Amino acid sequence: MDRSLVRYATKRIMQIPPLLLGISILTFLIFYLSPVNPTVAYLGLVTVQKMSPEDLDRVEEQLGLNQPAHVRYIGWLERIAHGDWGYSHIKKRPVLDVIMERFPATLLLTITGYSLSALLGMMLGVISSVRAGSRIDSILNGLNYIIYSTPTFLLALLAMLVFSVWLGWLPSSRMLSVNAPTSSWLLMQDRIHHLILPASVLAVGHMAVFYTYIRSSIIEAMQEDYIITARAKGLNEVEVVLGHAIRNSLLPFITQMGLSVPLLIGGSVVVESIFAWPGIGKLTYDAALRADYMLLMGITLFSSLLVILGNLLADMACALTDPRVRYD
Amino acid sequence: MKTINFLVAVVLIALFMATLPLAVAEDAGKMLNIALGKEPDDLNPIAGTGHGEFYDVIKVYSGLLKSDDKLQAAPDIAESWDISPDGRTYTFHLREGIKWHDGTAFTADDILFTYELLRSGEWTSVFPASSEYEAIKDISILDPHTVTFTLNDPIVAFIERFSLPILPRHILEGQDLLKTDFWQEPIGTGPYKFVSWNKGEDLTFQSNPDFYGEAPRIGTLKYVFVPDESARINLLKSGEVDAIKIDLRSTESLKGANGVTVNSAPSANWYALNMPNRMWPFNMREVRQAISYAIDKQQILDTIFNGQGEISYGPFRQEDWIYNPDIVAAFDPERAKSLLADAGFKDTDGDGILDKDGKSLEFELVYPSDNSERKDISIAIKTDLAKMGINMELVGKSWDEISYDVFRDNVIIMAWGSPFDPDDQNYQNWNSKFIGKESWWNAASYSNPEVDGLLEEGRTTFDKEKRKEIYQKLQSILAEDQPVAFLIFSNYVYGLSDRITGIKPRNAPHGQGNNGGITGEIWWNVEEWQKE
Repeated sequence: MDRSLVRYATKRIMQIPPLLLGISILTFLIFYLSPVNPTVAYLGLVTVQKMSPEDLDRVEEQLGLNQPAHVRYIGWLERIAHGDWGYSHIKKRPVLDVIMERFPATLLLTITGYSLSALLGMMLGVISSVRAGSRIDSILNGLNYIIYSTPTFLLALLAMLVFSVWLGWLPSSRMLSVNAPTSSWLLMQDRIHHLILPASVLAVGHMAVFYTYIRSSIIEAMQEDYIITARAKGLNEVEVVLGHAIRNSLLPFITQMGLSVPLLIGGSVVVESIFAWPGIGKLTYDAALRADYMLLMGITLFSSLLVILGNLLADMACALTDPRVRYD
Repeated sequence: MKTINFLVAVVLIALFMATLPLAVAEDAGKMLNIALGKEPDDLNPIAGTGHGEFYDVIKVYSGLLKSDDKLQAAPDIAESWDISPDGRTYTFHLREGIKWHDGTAFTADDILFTYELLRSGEWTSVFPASSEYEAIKDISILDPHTVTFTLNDPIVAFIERFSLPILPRHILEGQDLLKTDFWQEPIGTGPYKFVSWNKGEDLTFQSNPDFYGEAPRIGTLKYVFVPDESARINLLKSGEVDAIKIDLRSTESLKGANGVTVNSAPSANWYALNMPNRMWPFNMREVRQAISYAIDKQQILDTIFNGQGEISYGPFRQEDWIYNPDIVAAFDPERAKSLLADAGFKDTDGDGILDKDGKSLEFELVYPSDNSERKDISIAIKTDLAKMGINMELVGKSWDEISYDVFRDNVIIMAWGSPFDPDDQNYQNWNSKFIGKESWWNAASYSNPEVDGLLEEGRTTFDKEKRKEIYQKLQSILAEDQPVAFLIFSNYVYGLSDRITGIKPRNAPHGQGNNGGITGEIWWNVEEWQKE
């Protein structure tokens, strides 16, 4: 293997631990400084209101909430180093168990949403670029700007209103029907039926990024010499775009996908909460509302790892295809 | 291009499959689905506090006693019980042949084990009601079917504490109760056995064939978690679920739905305006009385609570056995004005606001900005008081910012309410010994020696008629003193399939919320329900 590639990879991997440490300190500080009282978050306000101060002190002590911030942080760091991600107060279970249980649901939603998003963005992008400057191009352009500027929650609520309340075509929440079928074939159908709405909202919400990207890179490519050669060979415009221009835009496009991972994780918090999709996003929302800082830190660390890995893969893909990157 | 074709194909196939009708197998009569807005954190049945909290536990468990629809003690694991004449010793006679869901025999040791867990205080973070059980001086097992409890003091309401769910010693002994998996997949002695819990999705129970009492009619009991109210309403309308709780302002959305009945059930949840009694101008009783007369409670009930509830003149509802009908006081702005004049308030500077000794009659009200009902009540009161020449400014704060001292030292919309023994919450809320403590009790800092005496007398008087007199007297004094301005009791509203029979609404405690949890709701007796 190319030594420069190995050196580049090592350098990038070495940057990860300090990055994670920084992220963990920041996360901890944010939760530590929030006004939420962890005892109230743990037992619920209604319960706490009826408790005596002595009992509350006892609870704080038993939960380790009365320790100073740095002791709590260092203890957490030590346990993480031993593979113990701590204990979730609201779920009453180990953090890593809770995350791993929810992760498949998020993966299903984001991967579906993501693929749809890339597909839609690419198709519309190609159409726009082939007809650059035409009326259809400006319509698509305008549409994408409007959708991109619409907050995801609004998009989700509108989709819910139209497709589940007015038309009644699609379920508005959850991952399965209440009386979920037992056979695996029907179960899969049921799951897909529930997946369509949230995945489409994610897809449409992010489509504009891919659309804009593919459109501009194809338009740029159209000025290149090899396109002129292709045209000179007598190919029509569609053949030129699909056969030549798009190929050279695809690789950076895939890199772009790697870089969009954080966007999708962010978007899924909103979409999952609205559609009651039992994934990491919904978990994050619940944990934040109830100040479960162990769980929140676990989720943050977990998502940071995902984002860092996504970026690393994207960088490596770049470095693999374009040697210049390795010497940056 | 191949990749794109493949993706298109996948999406098309998925869309096609989604349109196929879903075959749903259901043995209708034997299954019941309840959609909850709130998923429980775990299935620990002792996670709450308060007197009668265990009168409705997760159906996996059972206790020595349970309660009937009037919230009175009824036999459960104990077939019968005796209370000694001095009120200190309770003797329970246990049923025979009770089994845990795993087949192990239930013994009196399990009872001892459970009460000791709480009494020791070692697990307060798991069982916040622990210190209440420190009132037990001694527990003895006389024979395998007889257990006696001796209390330090005779407290009438303590009988409610014997509905504490019993936990299995053979599983929990020596475990870390904070981290045990038991709360995720519990084993009990109750009418339903735990089957499965898909987190974020649903929780399923199966009727217990070895149950010592009457076997439940509904074989499979499933709670599904649907946080969004409109989604819950849709599930009920489509018949996928049989019972839901809704916001009392959403009753219209269920009107005319086929096969659905709306049930507006009473609750002990009262709202009141807290007026810190030791702060000017609330240290003047006339001012507190005037404010109470000046508020149009009926209008609050009709406009904010959709008429679902009743006006409150004190901490007890009309149907409570100790209710005192003499305390009813009508909305009377003229009386309010004359009371304010009696207290020496006049608008001397002509700015439209009353004043006395150069001080204008104006103050701030703090409301929890994340609670729309309390916010709306605050606005309504502001309008009513403005007509009296009282200026009240509204300040919104989130619940995270409202600690007990903010709650205590501000004019605020408060809510409490217990349907259980009259001692519950009232002992703490009107008792001067709770003033200035680091707690949420007696936020009005109300002090009246006569009330203190009545509260002590009430909790140790076993004679029911005498008790009734005591608490009726208490209500008269509270109505006269108006430590807080009582406003209304709100109902809890449910949508229920009309195929269900056996529903017995009963007075529910404060703090249940509008989306429905596993306990404390109209489905408290779900083991007695039937579905046609």
